[in-house]
Amino acid sequence: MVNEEKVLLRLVDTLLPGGAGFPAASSTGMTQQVAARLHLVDANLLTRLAAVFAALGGLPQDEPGWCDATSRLEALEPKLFDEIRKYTYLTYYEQPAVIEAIRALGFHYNDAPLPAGYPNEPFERARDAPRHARGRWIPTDAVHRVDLSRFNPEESR
Amino acid sequence: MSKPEHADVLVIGAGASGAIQSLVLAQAGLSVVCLDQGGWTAPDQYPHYSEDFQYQRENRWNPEPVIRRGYGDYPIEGEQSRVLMWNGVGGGTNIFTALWPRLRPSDFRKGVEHGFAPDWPITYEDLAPFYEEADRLIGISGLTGDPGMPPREPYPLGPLPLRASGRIIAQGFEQLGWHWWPMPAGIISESYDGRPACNGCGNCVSGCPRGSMAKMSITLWPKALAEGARLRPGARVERIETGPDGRATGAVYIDRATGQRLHQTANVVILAANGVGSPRLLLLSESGRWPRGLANGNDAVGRNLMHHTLVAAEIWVDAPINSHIGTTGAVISSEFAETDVARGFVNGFNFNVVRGGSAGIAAIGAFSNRAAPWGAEHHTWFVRHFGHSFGAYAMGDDIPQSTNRITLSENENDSDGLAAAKLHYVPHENDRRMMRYATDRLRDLARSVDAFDVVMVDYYENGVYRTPGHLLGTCRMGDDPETSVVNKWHRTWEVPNLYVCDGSSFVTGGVANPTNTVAALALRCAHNLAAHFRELT
Repeated sequence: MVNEEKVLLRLVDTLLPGGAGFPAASSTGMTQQVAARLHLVDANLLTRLAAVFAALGGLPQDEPGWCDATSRLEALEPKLFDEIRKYTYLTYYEQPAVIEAIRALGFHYNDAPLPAGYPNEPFERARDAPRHARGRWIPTDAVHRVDLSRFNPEESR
Repeated sequence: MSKPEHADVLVIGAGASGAIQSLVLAQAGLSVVCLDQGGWTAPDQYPHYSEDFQYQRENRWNPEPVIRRGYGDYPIEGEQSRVLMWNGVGGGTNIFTALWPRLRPSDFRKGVEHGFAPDWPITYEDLAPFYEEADRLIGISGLTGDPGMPPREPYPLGPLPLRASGRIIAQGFEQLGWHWWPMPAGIISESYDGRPACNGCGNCVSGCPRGSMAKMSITLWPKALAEGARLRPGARVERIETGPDGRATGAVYIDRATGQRLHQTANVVILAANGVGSPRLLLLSESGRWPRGLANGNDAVGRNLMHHTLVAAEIWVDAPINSHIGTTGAVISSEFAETDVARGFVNGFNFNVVRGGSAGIAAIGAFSNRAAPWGAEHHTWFVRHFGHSFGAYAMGDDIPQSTNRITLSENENDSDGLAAAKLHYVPHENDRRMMRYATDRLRDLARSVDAFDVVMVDYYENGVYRTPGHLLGTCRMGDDPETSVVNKWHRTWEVPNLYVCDGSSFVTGGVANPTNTVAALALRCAHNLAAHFRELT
């Protein structure tokens, strides 16, 4: 038997190992939240995940082994992998430590869209308005039959 | 069966059209009842105040009902295309992006232009005054003077901030010598009508609890209720009833809180339940007298479904453009909006260039659904890409085809046992040609901004036609009772006091996001009905 919790704990760190100022996924304490969200997607999802790892020979012993097993999971069970990756990424980027890491990159970045919002940057006509005169529209009375003699839009090509 | 108090007008569906119809008709002194099968979402129930707002976009606030499976939703069988809708007060305005372009004069004249679609029974000029009225009523922001569109009154509000993201996109269009213009939007750039200006929070895709966006449950419904309209959320209409004279008498609905069946009688019934819901309800209302469904003697109900065509690109540029900040709509280009047969197809497309993508959404592929790499590479990818992206959507006018249609499912029912909708949609060969051409133009756009990374999004992927999910054309208006469902005033040909007015009324989709035109059509329909109510009844 492969332990479902252990698989997920290592898998989220294989997906998001930390670096470039960002923490490893499991260090943010998000693993249980990912598990809960995946359970809502499919109550058997983690059991299926554990079964895949069991079929691959059990839990890898080191980081290269985990990377290799994850690559095989991605190839063998792409839909399962996509769900796990999606919810891992979404959960990761709502963790306070990760939001701090984003801010440390220099971004003004809120942890929720409201209530703060972002500073207004009013439209400045001199800077922002188009200066071109491009654009074309056909008045109602000027709409005429186009020449379809050179092609048939219903014909596949 | 209980009978609530009789109404002059029964409106079915509380979305953009239903809200406008209810407001205008109540203002005209008519008694109005509006039924909606969904609920009313209070501002504090929106995800904008919650740290898991990105996660909620994937489930509870997903724009697709088959994924969301919310309280008001019903199943839709058929997975060939996306369906964007919200079943509840405010309708699709709860999850739209409030892009607010108009149709063009030629969009109403495709019968003359090439004949692969009929003409509308009205012209742009017929609708133009109602576009203006809708803009004032709802509060539209934009820059007047677009040479790519007919002259118009000044926008009620000035354009929304272009921001660094919009400016770099504009530079790309300039480089190409193509038309571009700041995106008109149903989002207020200044305080308007008691509502606060947009604060650029960046989460337009899950509605707007501030009321800065044209979300009808916040912007129009309070006004309609103040005028005396009565709104009943959680009221799922089972069928529209007719009397011995063939006129509609009202509708039977299920009060979902009690399970009780009620018969709401009315002199006039307006169906405004969107391009899937309206034909579904007409088909559900079949009877011995109406064996094919109500107002469907010509078998036109549900046919000619249009979604708009779509191909897209997710584009990353070197310059930091803070693309997580600001409204979704940035820039529109109508360079390719009109037919040019030299391109190898009829009709045209617009570019809608958009922002968006807070960190989690960016990581799962904000515009392309192509997730960021995993492993050690992920974080370097994020540092390089986040805040540097925009999405370019080429949205085109698809040919209406009678085989693309809404029918009733024989396999699935909703939670009240009513047959689900079944959807069939396959793009026309002309649409495929257009999308291939548009894909090449998207590549041109990416090159013009010196993109360091691009992901192209094809129109067909994993067995699904990727479209904007707009729901148009399924009860189309026309001059010919043999080929259309409603006349130019939205009255059904067969039931003289039954109206259908929503996206299903469209004859062609044009190259514009549809809510603006839905709103204008609703105003035109409601004013006409108010003016002629006594003679009609």
